[in-house]
Amino acid sequence: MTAREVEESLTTRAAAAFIEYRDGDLQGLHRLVAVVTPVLWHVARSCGLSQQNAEDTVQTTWLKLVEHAPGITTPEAVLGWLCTTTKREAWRVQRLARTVDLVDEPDLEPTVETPHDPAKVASMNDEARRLWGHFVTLSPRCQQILRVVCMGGAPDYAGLAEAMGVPSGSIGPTRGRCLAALRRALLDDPHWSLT
Amino acid sequence: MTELPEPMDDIDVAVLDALRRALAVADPVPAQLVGEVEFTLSLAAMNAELAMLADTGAGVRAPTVESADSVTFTSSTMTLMVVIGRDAGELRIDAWVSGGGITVELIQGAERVAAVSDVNGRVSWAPVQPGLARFLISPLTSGGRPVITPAIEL
Repeated sequence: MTAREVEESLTTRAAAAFIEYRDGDLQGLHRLVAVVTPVLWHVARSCGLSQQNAEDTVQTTWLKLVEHAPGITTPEAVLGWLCTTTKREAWRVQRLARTVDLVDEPDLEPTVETPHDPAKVASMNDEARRLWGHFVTLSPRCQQILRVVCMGGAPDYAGLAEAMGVPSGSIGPTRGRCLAALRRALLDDPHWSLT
Repeated sequence: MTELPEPMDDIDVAVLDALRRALAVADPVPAQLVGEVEFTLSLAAMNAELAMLADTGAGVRAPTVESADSVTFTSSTMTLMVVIGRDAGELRIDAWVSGGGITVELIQGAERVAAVSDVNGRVSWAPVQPGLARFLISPLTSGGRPVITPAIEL
């Protein structure tokens, strides 16, 4: 996905595809799946799910959409609905998994770490690896939020943040605490520059 | 929180773009995920019936065994016998379904190849790529349910 593509708001593209689907065009559903599935992947992974559980959770979310589509009356709300549904399903799966973990390690405090492949991080270019180094020092909660909001363009920022549980008290996209923290860390890093 | 909400600027957008690029390397979306979602949704939309592997008694081989060269599936309305063979070094599949003029699709990942059974109920595909495959049989009567088989290894 290029920056140019996400500039056309995900919310708008998802809404347009959903309207087509609701009006009986199955191609609309295919477009909706293609546009939103990558975001849902990162929602599920940001909740700490394994690869397999994240894939299953995304599948479940789409089946639920088909079941509940008639009840979604505002097409612009479909992106948020899909993210929220994925998050709830991911938490349900996480709770089941933790019950098992806690039996083995009763003192383990549940945390949500950003799942990633260390070998792939090692293969990043300098800019990405430096950014990643700052990103993983943020609180798990901030990592969770930023991981999802970065999948959309600026117009989607507030909506995606809200779907991840950030209250939207203001009009228009504002920076927010987590993005401010990452931005500050990067601007203070003499080796990082905007490309 | 002591910070007042500030509007986003170009630096914020650049930071988020850079994070998205980093995530695409650190934790990429599985390549097959969109295709799998679409397949799951299409089955749900068709209300397809899942066929069973028929128990043919002695000599039956599990469909996951790579050497399986003949497999039979049954559903409430039809039977599909699949024979996997080789034709000049390439895989070919011959199958017999209970009736002529029935559309059967060979599905491998996102690839779907339809064939219509002849008067003897025979359908065939060649050449066929090795890997997981399943078959989708169109409804025998209008208003009937399509039938999907479990995946077998070719």
